[in-house]
Amino acid sequence: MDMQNSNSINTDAKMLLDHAKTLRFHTGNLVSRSRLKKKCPGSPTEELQDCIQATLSDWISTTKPSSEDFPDTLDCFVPQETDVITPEEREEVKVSAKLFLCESVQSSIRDAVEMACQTLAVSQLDSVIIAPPGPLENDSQTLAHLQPAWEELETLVKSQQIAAIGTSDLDKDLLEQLYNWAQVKPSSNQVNLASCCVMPPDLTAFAKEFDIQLLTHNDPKELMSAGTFQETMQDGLQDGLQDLNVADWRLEWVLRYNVIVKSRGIIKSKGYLVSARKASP
Amino acid sequence: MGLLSQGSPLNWEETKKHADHIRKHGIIQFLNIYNKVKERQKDVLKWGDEVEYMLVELNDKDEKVQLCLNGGDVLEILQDQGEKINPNHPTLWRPEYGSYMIEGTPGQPYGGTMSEFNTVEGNMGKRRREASAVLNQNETLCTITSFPRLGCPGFTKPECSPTPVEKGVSKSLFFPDEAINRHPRFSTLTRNIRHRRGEKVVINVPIFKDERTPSPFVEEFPEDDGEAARAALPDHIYMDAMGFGMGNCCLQVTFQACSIAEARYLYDQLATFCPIVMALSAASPFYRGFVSDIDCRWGVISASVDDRTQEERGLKPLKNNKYRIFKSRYDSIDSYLSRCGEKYNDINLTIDEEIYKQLLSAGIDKLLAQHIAHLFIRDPLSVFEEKIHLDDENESDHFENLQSTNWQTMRFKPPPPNSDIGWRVEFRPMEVQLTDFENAAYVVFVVLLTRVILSYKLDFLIPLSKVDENMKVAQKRNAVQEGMFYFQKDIFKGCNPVPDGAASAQNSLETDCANEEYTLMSIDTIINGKEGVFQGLIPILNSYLETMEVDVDTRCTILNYLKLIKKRASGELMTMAKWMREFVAKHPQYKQDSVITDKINYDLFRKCDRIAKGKEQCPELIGNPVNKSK
Repeated sequence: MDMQNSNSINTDAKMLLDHAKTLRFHTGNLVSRSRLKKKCPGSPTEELQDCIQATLSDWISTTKPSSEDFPDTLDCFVPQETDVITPEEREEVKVSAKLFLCESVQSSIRDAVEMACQTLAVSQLDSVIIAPPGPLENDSQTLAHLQPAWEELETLVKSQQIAAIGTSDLDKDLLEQLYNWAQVKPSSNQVNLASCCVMPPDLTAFAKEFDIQLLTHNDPKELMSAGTFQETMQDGLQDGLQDLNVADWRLEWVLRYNVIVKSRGIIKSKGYLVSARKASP
Repeated sequence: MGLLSQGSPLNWEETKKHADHIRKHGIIQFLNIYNKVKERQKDVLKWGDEVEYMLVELNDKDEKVQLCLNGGDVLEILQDQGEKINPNHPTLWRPEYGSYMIEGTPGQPYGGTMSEFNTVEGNMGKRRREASAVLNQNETLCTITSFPRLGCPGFTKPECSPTPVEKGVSKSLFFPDEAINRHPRFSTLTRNIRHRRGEKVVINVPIFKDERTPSPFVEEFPEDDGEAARAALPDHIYMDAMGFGMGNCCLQVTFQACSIAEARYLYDQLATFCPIVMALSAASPFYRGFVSDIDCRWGVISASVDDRTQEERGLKPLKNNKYRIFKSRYDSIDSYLSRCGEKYNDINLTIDEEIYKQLLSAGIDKLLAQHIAHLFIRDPLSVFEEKIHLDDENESDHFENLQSTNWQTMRFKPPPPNSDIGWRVEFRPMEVQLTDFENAAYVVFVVLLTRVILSYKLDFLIPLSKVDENMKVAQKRNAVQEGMFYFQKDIFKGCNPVPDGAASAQNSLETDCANEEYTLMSIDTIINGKEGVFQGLIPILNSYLETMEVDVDTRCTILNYLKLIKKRASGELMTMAKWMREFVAKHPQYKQDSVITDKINYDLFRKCDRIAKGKEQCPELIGNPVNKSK
């Protein structure tokens, strides 16, 4: 690795970013929103954008020239914003995650779940819902498309890193196909908020019969496009780092976690873990 | 309305002699409870609603609607076939002030899971059907805040005449004693309030001046001994009995907090919402057969139980009484309880100094001590001979005696002795709505609001004097559309409790930056938000709901509830008060003279009954909620 020394924080951050192959964000607990620009986000995409920017600029301003080496994987988080669940409170909370895959990289699922467990200091996530990358245009979602991700999730259930797994936006036919094929059955399927009052009766009946919980979400089809991610990076990099080339960075996955105090209906914490990799030139 | 003791009630002269004893032991009882349970933590969320119902008969032959005075019998039947034979019965029934009223609650409290929001309306429906089933033909159960012809000749069935002489309970020119619940607690309260005050209660509500309303509007009262003529104001609807207030129906919600600290925090935060939610729930525009110029009952009830003497009200110099008291026993709260609230405690707080010192020396902090010492400036109003000497370790009747006759917008409720119930707060300002759908919507809205406040650690506090100003605005006609309310601008900033001793320094700073913290907003802005002014509560609630795991069915229900609140705030849907006004204004028999005749009242109740039973739609009032036919 080519060593260049500099004492400026910005240059140091730039160096780190230049050398890294993978970038991981942890946004910290968004329940206290004081450091975010938009106190009440309009959409999940805006929220994600807002907190990636905030995390990146916080990280840049606190990065100290520390070590001599430049890691491949750069962890971008602000130390005091982490949210560890203590063993005493583990029983009282439900830890759920929704994993948005942006690329079909198999290791993504394991990486994301491991990072979530590590960040929250838990050995198991109570539930993980998967949102696989959308099919190519004019293509509809198929079982074949879902299977690789589901198999990976099943492995994590078997190794007890996840207790229950679920899907999002599956219609009755696809949910049924998945159910019949899967070893570990889906425990829930998320549907869009817009359809919660106009549910297709066949989906409702199927879910009821096989004890699959139908939950709601308000996420767009694509949580964050490649373009939006790059813009967001660019905005977070202000203060002398604008010349950094962000076009190489690709979003791999986004994991959103929620920690809910079960018997009180209170959100203890909520945050995003984000992974991006640098495309090979 | 609090617990009912059996026994021989004492009159005011006798009650007065025991007042100090009851206060003294009430405080001991409070301290015993406090010391036992002050460290309670991690209680789960439990909550419940209370809906008050009136029993009416629709007399189709005479086209007249009357209040049925058989609430006592109906209550007995409901209890006999419900809770008395099945401890898990889904409904509970309790007596209320009017002998035409009953109160219904869910049999078990609701818990902290989201899907329970989906059972509230169903339980309310169960209550309505259960009670309706035991009524006589032509009788029906209504959730209408104020009966428009309350106190008009022949408004009860059977018809009864008022007893406007000293031996009467209310001594009212309009409200017969038979319309008061037959349990002695209620008549004792009524008579003792009157005797303590030294005269009848006085309620003057401004009349709505329509095209043909006499001006000035002055009534004559033939049976008056002079008291009414002195008390009645021109251009006002005059009322003279506790029943005009306590005979109204309300909607209340009680929450169990996880600890005393959380209860105090919620008490304060929700206090700022009392005027807002009251205006949103406005449902009582008519009094004693006239169209009034107010939309909410609050001030009427407040005056209907105002037991303060002329000295205490500041009309005469203090001679026989201890304190100048600024509000009725039924009024908005007078002090915040959390440390964040301390710097906003800016209204005159009359306290019993001795009790205050006693509480402080027992280790109670000053905010809680002054709250209790303020409640305890009041005299007990109803004392039973058999219930004077109590076991202070294991009973709390004397504490509850004063606690339950301080009817404030919020109530901070210590756990009952030797129970597994935690610290609770009660939200009390709402007017009851016509349909179960609406009542469930308001209740769920308030419960969700508490979850959002606790999750995001929001801070809505503004000086209490501003909350009081909001209370006044909230009761005015069409306040939901026209009223402007003081409201906190930055609810995410978190609170900065004043360190002990720094209060005075903080106060001078406070006056400098006071205008920065809050501003006047419309209810639409508060609920729905306005770019650059305030985020709006609904968007914050939605953000919370997106984070919680909510099943589709419950989400749809909540979506409909929030849509109602949203549209009531924006004016797209009417409040019950506005809807009733329009109904009367358009009625062929209405003569633009502010008078509601028997026929108008009958037609109004006919329509209300059909809407409440789901036989008729009312899109201008409730929109078109998706009926999932539960």
